[in-house]
Amino acid sequence: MISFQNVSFSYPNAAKPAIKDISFTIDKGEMVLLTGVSGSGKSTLLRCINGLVPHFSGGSISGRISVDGHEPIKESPKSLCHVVGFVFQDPESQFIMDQVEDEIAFVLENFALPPGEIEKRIDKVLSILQLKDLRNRQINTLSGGEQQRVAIASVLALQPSILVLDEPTSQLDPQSAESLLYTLKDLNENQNLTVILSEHRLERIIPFCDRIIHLNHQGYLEAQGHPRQVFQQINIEVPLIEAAKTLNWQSIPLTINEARQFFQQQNHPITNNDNPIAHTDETFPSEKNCYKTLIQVKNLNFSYNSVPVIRDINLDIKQGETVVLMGVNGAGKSTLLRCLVGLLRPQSGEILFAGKDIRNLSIADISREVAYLPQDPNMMLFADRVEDELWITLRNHRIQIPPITPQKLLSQLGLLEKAEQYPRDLSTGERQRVALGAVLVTKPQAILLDEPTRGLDYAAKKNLIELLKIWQLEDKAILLITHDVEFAAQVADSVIILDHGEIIKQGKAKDIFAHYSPYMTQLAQVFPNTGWITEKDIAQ
Amino acid sequence: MNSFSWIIWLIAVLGALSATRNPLHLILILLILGLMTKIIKYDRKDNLVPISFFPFFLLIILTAAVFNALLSHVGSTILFFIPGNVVLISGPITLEAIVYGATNGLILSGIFLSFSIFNQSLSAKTIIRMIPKAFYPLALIITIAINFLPSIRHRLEEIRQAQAIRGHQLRNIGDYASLFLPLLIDSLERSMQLAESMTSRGFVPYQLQSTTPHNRFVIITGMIFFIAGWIVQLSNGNHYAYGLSLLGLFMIIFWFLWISKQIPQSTYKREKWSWLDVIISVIFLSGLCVYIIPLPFIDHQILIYNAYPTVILPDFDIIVGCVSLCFLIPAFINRGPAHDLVSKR
Repeated sequence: MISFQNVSFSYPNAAKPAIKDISFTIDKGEMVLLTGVSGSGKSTLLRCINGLVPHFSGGSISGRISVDGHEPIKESPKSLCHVVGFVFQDPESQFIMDQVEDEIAFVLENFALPPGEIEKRIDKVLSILQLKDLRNRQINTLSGGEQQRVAIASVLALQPSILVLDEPTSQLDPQSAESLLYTLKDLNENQNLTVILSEHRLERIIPFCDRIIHLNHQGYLEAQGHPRQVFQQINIEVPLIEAAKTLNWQSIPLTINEARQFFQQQNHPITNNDNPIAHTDETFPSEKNCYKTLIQVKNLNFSYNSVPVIRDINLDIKQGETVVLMGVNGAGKSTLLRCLVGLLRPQSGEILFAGKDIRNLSIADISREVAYLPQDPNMMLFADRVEDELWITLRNHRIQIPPITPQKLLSQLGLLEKAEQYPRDLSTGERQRVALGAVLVTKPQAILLDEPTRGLDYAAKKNLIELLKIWQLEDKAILLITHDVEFAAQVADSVIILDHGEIIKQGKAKDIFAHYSPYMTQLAQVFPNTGWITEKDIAQ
Repeated sequence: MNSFSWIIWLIAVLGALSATRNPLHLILILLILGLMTKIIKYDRKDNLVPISFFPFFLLIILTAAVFNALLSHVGSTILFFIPGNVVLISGPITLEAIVYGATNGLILSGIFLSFSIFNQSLSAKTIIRMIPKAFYPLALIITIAINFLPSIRHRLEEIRQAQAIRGHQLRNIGDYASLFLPLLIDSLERSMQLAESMTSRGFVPYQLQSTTPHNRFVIITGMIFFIAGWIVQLSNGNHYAYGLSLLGLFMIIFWFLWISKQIPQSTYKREKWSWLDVIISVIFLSGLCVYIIPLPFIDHQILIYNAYPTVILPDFDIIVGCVSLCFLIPAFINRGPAHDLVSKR
């Protein structure tokens, strides 16, 4: 179905090729996952399949590509769109029309299909993707998951035999992501569609795919084959696989059920009482109790246009404590963070920072002591150099002598070598760290992070975990929002779960991630009643 | 309401706004439009214009009044003098110039508000469908721009918040750079993503084939007739010259429809005219006629109000005022998204 033979590609004016000497084949009806760190060339490779590379991007390409009898290097994306449907990472930025039905009809009208045929195809894709009820809805009123389905529907309307998706779940909460993956698997199995997708968070996607193609950071194909084979060849920190390696299991489990079976075969009963981590955990909170409370929220209520978004929230965050805020999209998490930095003024309740009511402080005053990193760090970056971004914050606050020099902070963030670079040329993880530098340069006492793992690969996530640990040691109070349970389990002291603006669950990270079913880590599901929630627990 | 009825409504309102300079009638039209924004059920839920109308229009009217007062020193009611020899500015400030400028502001506000209602009442797709296929790429650009407006507004607010938490405050013009630079870069990036998405779905602007001698003849003759009719009317005021312009206009429209047939594109849903659409379109056109055609029962001097040379209180024509209320009809019959009202095929 798809064949790459010694394909290399360089973007115009690029110093080195984005992908090098790539060769592989994909059979009809396969569901293939493309993995690799940020900048390894995954998106480039996917764009080669439908001819966006090189026809849209420019640049030089060598080798041979064949897609269902077509040659994307020679043919234009227009001639390939009946064969390959391409769905991009951010659904919002690919819509042309404002209504679901119009968006799907747009492409079919462009190909001058008769109205009867257009209607038939729209009915079919809406039915396959379970979008019938949304047919006449405005696209901007849909959730992220629904928008991604509409994006898929709009390319499937052309009846391609191959569906290519570039990180389709990166903008979605876990529930929407899982639902989308089930839909893709259904398309793959029941519509016999060949599906190729790239993704960073492998733990949720491995059970769905038949094969993995892994690119290394230099753009070479490092491994390919069945997930089990590939994970034996490469080192990716997926919790189940790490656990299997730590416990020296013969075979690598790909699903939680497989891992459970392996665990039972080992006949290795571990109870909470035997678990050293569990004991440590008992003493952990009391140690933290000796620190003073930095952020206090009392009976907080906030409404948008008379619709309550935050309802009667009470929480305390101590120095040196990391609190993770979780919940489905629209639960009020980001709104809570915005209230804490004064961007939104709550209707009632109190927010105290170091005992002071923030209502009497300006946003600038608050942000000097409470760093807040929004979901999209790009919104902050506009300077020509990375280092300038930090100086701009200092200038805004009229700080002549910085509490920490920008060079030192960049060094801590691992960005000293990039100090002279244009911030928007950096990878997602690096851009996020530049934005962090921009809000941390005033040496604040508290740090609020809104979905900091979005779009990060495993290496970038690991860097972030290291940073969080350093800040914990510096006694910073940290409150972060994430959908990534595995990440949260590695950094959290305590967890708050919001739903419809209310706290529905609150407790120690060990308790929540080990026992509260919607938020149990994969390892907690495999090793119930052990208190193990991360690979580190197993290793210890 | 049918999209073409909406176009006739827009033409009627714009025609009425340009046919009168009577402040009382202009205020009445503005009030009608303002009332429509309150009671109409828009097809588009997003607010395209991120402003509240009343202060915005007040600003337009004040700006127009001040601007005209500073530049036009004609009029008999002198309020005060601007001393010195500043070119254009120095001289008497007259009440007439202020009233004339404010009237311009009222007209501008009415035009802005009527376009705003029109835009929000029709979906992007409906607007595209109304534009001849020969202009499809242009129509698409307009649609994308309309769809981008709310998202740009949303992004601007996100950027403002993101900069605010870095201690950013808007103290001088240079401070706006930190808002508009990220917005510009972000918009360009999103445009590239959209272009990539459209390319991957096979969208390529259709290139018109070279035109034949026949259709070249039609467009050239049409344009000559249109311009010639206009020039004749301006030079000797002959109303029959309008007929020549109209013939030219029909030939140009015919040419567009003819050329559009070359473009291989289908229309999924066509709107159907109902009797109600026909009736209300006739009502809108009749309303327009009352403003522009010299009818025996209407004193057109009331509509052609001029603040110069001495400002006097404007009269109000009760018949014209009552007729103007017909522009309010869409507010009562627009039953939500036009999409649900159209018939298939």
